[in-house]
Amino acid sequence: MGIVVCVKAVYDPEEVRVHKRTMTLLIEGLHLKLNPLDKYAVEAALKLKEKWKTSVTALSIGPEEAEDVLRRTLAMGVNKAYLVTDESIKDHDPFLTAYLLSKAIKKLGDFDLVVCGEKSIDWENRQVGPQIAAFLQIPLLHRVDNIELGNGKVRVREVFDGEALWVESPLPAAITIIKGGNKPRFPSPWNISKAYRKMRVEKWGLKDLGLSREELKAKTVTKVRRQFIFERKRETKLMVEEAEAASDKLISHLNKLLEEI
Amino acid sequence: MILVFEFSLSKELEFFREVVREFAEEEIAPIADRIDLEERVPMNLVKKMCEMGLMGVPVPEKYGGAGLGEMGYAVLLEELGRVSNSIATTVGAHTGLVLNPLWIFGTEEQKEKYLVPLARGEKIGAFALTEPNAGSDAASIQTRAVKEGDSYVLNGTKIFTTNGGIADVILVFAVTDPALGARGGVTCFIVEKGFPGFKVGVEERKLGIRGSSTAELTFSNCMVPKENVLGQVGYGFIVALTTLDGGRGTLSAGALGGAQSILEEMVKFVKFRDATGNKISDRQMVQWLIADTAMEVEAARYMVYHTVSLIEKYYTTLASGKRVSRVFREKLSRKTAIAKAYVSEVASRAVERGLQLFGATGYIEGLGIERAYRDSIIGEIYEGTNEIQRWIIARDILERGLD
Repeated sequence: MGIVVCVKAVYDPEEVRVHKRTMTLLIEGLHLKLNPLDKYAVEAALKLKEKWKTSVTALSIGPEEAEDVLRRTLAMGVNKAYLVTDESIKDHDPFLTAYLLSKAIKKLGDFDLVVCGEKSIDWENRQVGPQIAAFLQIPLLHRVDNIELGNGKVRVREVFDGEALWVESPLPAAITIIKGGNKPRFPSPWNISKAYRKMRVEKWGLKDLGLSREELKAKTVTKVRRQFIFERKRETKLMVEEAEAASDKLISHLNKLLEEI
Repeated sequence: MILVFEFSLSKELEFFREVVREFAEEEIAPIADRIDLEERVPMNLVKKMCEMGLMGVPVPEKYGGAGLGEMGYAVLLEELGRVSNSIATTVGAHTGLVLNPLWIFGTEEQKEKYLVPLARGEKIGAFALTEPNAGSDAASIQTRAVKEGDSYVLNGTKIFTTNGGIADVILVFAVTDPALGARGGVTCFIVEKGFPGFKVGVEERKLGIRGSSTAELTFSNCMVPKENVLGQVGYGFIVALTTLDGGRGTLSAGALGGAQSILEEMVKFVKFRDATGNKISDRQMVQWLIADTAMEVEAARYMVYHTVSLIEKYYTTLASGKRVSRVFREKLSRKTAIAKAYVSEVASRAVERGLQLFGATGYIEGLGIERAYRDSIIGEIYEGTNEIQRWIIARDILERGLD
């Protein structure tokens, strides 16, 4: 029995400023932090660990500095931590991230559960969890706030639009976690010093995953066309016409707004 | 003059700060006003902090602590002081005034019996030095300890003891030889709250730090076994001074946290508050208040961590049984006096400016400004008033010269 929990090192959007002309993120001097939702994922995995005496491995992809974020997972109580890091995987889109994570999970060996936060606070793509499930060809349990294990099966509560649904699945399976249920524990100072002094974060490069830079390029599917700051504007427009004329007017107005984006 | 500044925080401590800040924001800040209003130590919160391991941060792992040193302890106090000076004070008295002397002066048996449970947060500590006739003039203490067989019998009264009402273990300073006075006539005793003859008296009501316990302790024929002498007989003043020389320096991190929080509140407020059609942040007078506070907080932060790095060196050396040179000790004493007095006054000035800026909004209860105003003043008084600190600073400069 083994649980892999995938986490991401992110910059806090509250702290990041955007360069108005180049649209680049000004991140100098900021610390990478453990994605808030991933704390819930780690907590969920640790609860299972305590109840079922299983081991939990934390896994991440990111720059070298992401190591500190993995230390946090160690301080929370995961058994081992791995960081996939390579110069060439700087701008990884969700698809590539999921591909690399699934490669790394396979390399880790036997596992029963892959647990991820549902989304990261930086880009909020919400794709990595489901795509890992697809790459590994295992069932996906999406938007979960409660997990139970037993008899070689997993039972989870999925939450959509306030509706909850208990779902059962064979193992192995992938789970994406949402807030609720498991309030993440604060790492104790004892465990913080242990995580820094007695434990280590294993680092894997592309080669360790048996991949080349060319393969990596081929797997990058997202193309960023334009970046801009979205300004949320509220405006009221009254269209006082006959119903049909008003709806035509509304549609053309909405189309115009879409073009502006 | 050789300037040595070695006080970058390790990644471990940066991470520790992140965790403590989260804890403080989530668990303390929402109830900080209530803690103040209820005027007692929030034992549920303290229990949570004990379980989390926040009560033994500087002590080595071997003795139940986290081994994060004085730097880690300063980080903790800064973050606690940022949300509640009551809580910073409670943790500070326990850690700086009890754990550290036990670690430095305790025998292995004493460490096993007292330091370990205190550092693990299973017990709470207090430090009882002040008496009705011995405040700043601590040499005038009158509590007596007389040897009877294998025990000492303590008689006397201690006042203004932080954590007095909640402590399980109390370090008590008593006169063992009146003829010798402060130099050799005072001894430090480890007293358990269950010892016969020990009683907690009046709990003081205070201007600020109302969520901390400040109590009177009485000893009437209180029997203390002789193995509970901390250090040696007659060594009490060395224990007390070593503790206070360091403790007041690290404690200034709590005042720094208080100043930092006021600065943050000021910045938030002026960007939001409109007056006569403009944000008040557009006004130069307001900008200067922010700039002045930012300058002082910046200076205070460097001062605190530089001083604490020296305290860490001081305590680690002493605890390993090595001697510390007189020159280093005097230098440290001056530096911690400077940090204690300066940073507490930075905090008071910051909160005065903050209150004026917030106007009536800050004067009423609920925003934490009036609480901060009341809470900041104690920094200028406890662990040696700022007048005593100035005396230490000036005496050292005039006797030993400027660096």
